[in-house]
Parts: sequence; C-alpha cells; structure tokens
Amino acid sequence: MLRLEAISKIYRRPGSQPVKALEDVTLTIAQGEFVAIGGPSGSGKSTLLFTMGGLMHPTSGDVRLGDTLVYDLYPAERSELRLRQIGFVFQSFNLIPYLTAIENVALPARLAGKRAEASIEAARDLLGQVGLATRLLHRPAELSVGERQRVAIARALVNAPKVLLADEPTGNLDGGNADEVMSILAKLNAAGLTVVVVTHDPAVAERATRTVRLVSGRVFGESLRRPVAQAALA
Amino acid sequence: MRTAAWLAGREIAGRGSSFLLGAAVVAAVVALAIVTDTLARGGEERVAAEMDSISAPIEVLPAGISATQLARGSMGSESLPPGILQKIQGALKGSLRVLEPRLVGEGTLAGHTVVLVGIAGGVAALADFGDDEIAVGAILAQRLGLRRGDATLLLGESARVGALLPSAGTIDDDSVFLPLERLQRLVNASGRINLVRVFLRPGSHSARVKELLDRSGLGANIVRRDRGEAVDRDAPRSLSIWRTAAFAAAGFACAAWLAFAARLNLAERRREMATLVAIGAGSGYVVTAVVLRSAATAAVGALLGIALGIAVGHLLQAPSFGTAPVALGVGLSTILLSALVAAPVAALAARADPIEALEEQ
Repeated sequence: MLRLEAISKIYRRPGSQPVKALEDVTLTIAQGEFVAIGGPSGSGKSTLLFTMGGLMHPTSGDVRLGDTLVYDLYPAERSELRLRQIGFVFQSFNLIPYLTAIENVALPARLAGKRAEASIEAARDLLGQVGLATRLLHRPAELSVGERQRVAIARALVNAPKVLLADEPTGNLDGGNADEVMSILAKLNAAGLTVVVVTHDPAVAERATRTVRLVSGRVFGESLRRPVAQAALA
Repeated sequence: MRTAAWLAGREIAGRGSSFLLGAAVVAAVVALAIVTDTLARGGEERVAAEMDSISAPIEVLPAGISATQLARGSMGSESLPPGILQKIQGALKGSLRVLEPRLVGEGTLAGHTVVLVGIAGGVAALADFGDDEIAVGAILAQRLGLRRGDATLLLGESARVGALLPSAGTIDDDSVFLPLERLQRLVNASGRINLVRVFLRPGSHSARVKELLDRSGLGANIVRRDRGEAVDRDAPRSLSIWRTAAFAAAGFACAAWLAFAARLNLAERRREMATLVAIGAGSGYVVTAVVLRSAATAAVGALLGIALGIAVGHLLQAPSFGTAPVALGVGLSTILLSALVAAPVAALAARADPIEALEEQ
C-alpha cells in the first residue's frame, strides 16, 4: 500500500555543503504491517518518515500511497491526503496548547468537514479507547507526557487513516508510558492499521513485524521479526 | 471557515492575556485618533461660532427667491408665509441664538434708487433709533455724500441719518437700514417680511440646522451662507490637514503594531501552524485562522478605543456632531487594516517548511 521507489533527499542550505539524508531508498510497506525504522542518529529515519507522509519533497524518487503518487499532487491535494489517509504522531506530541484533549482530537475531523458534534463524538470514543475518558476536558499542559502522547495517537486516528506514521513516539516517555503507547500502536496494528514507527530504541522495534535499519541514508538491512498477530500479543 | 473561526475563538479564549494586550494597544491608537478628531472638530466649531457672531449662517428667503436676488436687493413682491418665525423657533429649539426678520426692497433715498432694509431685533445699533432715523451703509453714504445727522428724503418722507455703518464688504455697504415696522408702514406692507436671518448658538452645526429647516416644511428657500462660504471652505481645510495627518499617523501606528503583533503571534505559534499543516490543514485554512484572530483583536481594540476616545473627547471638549461616523470609519478601517497586514504574514508562515518548525525542540 505504501511504496517508496529510489528515494533520495539532499539538504542544500546556503553556505554549507549539501547533506545526503537519504540515498536511493526503496521500500514497500504492505497493508497491515507494523514497520519499525531504526538506525543511529542522523541516519535519515525521520526524513524518510516525513517523505513517506507527504511532508517533505524528495530530491528524487517516488512515493506511492495506494495508487496515488504523493508528490505528483498539488500542495492542497497533498494536504487533503495527509488529512484523510495518513495519521501522524510526533515525538513531542505537538498538541494545540489552548485546545482541550477532546478538541485536539476532534480538530482533524472538523478540518475534514465533519460536523462539530460528530467530531466531538468520534474524539470522545477514541479518547476512551486510549484510556483517557476522564481527561477529555484537560488541556495538554494539564496532562502527563504519556497522556499527551495518547491524545496525539487519538488525534492521528480520528479520520480513520490508511497508515499511521509515528516519529519516535516514545522518545519523550518513561518506560511505563512507552510500553503503554507501544501496546496501543500494536493493538491498532492488530486491528488492521498499517503502522510505521521511527525509533532508535530496540525495545520499541521489538514490537514491530518488520524492522528496517537505515545507516547514512541507506537501507542497511531488513528483518521480518514476527507475524502481525504475535506482535499484537507481545 | 467555520472551523477556522472556531479555532481562532478557542485561541483567543486560551490566550486571553496576549489577546487583551494586542487589543489594548489598538484601543489606545484608535482612541488617540478619535480624540484628535474631536479636538479638531471643536476648533472648527469655535471658528464657526466666531463667524456667526459677525454674520448669520442661515438665511430664510421666500420660495423662488435666490441668494443672488437677495444680494442685489431685488426681492420683488414675494413674502415669507405668516407664522414662519414661530416655525423656525420650533424647529431649531436649542440651536437658535436669535432670529432677525427683515423686509428688503428697493426704494428712493434722496432721489436715488437704493436697497432698503427694515430690521427687527438682532442689530443693536437700530434699537434706540427715533421714528425718522436711518442707518446708511458706508459706500452708499460716500456715494450720496451723506454724513451722520444729515436730513434727507426716504420714500418721499423726511429722514435723518442716525448712523453710518462701517464697511462690512457686503451688500449692506450699499443699503439703507431702518426699523422694520417703519419700512412696512412706508411701503404699506404691514407684517410683511421677506428675509429671516438665523443666528445659531456657538457649537451648533449650520449644515445640520439647514437640514432641519429643509425638513420642517417652511415653504421657503433656506440658504446656508456664512459657514458654507467661509468656515466650511477655509477653516476645515486648514484643520483637516492636521486631522488627516493624525489619522495617517494613527493608521500607520495601528498597521505597524498589528503587523508586529501578527509576527509575534506567528513566532509563538510556529509549531502549532506546522502541526496544523502536518495533520492536513491547507494553507488557506491557516491564513484564515490567523486573519480572523487578528481581525478579532482589532475589532475588540477598536470598540474599546472608540468608547475611550469618545469619553476622553467629552472630557476635553464640548460634544460635537459627527463623532459617530468618524468612530465607525476608524473602527472599520482598523479591522480592515488588521486583516491586510495579517494576511501576507500568515501566508508566508503557512508556506514555510513545517518540518523545520516541528523539529525545533
């Protein structure tokens, strides 16, 4: 469902040498997979994730989501694609600080044109699923970091995306919260959602069905860890 | 649009202090503009009142008689309808200082055809005139060789020059003045008048008064004379330079502040905007939310500023006409300005690379 073909990304900044972040990366992610992208810092993991998600134009190569060539779309069409088909979870949550948990989750639904009441209802349901039914009206500053990340996951899911992309989703969490977040992602994957996680934490990668290792912007190795069902139960 | 408005509203509620700070600065600038305008208008009113003390701002003529005919003294046989003085008094109420009814016509003085003006009230110089006394305009006196105390013939009756009027640079310089009732008797027109000069209280607005009289169904021609010719042309022109300068300065200050506030706001919201873009909000949505927030700041600031400006204007100056349209104009301009300065800043920010902002920790 998600295919990256010969993706290269070179950062060019005035006054500095060009930096090759990705070099000829080809990767296919099938429907229902849980893929962990690992590798050392600066290996191009996040660049690959953002390129996959239609947020960063590659220097060369194609990204295909289903039948759609993501970077052949106009910017407005790409925004629409991100809104309806891709869910993002960020390391630092990136919740809107003046919105409550339920409003944060409802926001993408409202952006997608859903009525306010229906958006709030969907948000309430999702927050219940991630164990935050009692924290609906709290603002991000009033939530623990683990709770914030769960709100962010609920927000990513509210428009029922085809794929969930998570950039170091446990990077700011302690062990217990990290486990909880990974369990949620594994359950979502078990329910059929395609999940791609960028991580440098081997324990997180353990929960994935497949691990892709990047080194210096190249795919250094891939390993199929276990079938989907086993990952979900871990 | 609805979602953008909702988000802008939630942000205003969530960041009340920065919103109020923005609105307070806008309010101060708007208030300053309105106070300046009020003071300028007050200055105009004072000049107008001084002009009124010299000559009447409004003249009421019989319908069909023009100001030009009046200036020539050729009023014909037309008269103003009976009871017109009471009607004018009723229409003007607090704006009226004094009414000066006149009968103007042509007649002979010492064998020469001249303009005769009968006056009741208004002109103190004639108040204690004897039955046969007249006042002669400066130019006419010179032309006829008349001096104070000279005996002469007015409409075939003997008359004595009781006063020579100083030159006013008007048709009055070439006219003869006498008490109204005496002229009416001389021309067999008891109770007839064909001109009423309306003197207004200081601070009254002659244009408004003319509108009032026009709407009062007097059956007469209302001529707005002195202010229209002098004050409205000259005094406002000089004052309007300062007023325009004040508005331009206020507008510039408002625009600069709103642009600065928009930039500050966007710097504060860089990550939020990047998040919105990342989760799929289009740039149009982001721009709309920013513009709405900026316009809301300007609207609240403008309302506060208008209230403050009017209050301070009242404290510093007698209330003047015309504040409401100015306040409305300033308020709407401020809101428009806020949208104009916020839109390009927001558009640039919405097009910026969201990844860069998201990766900032």
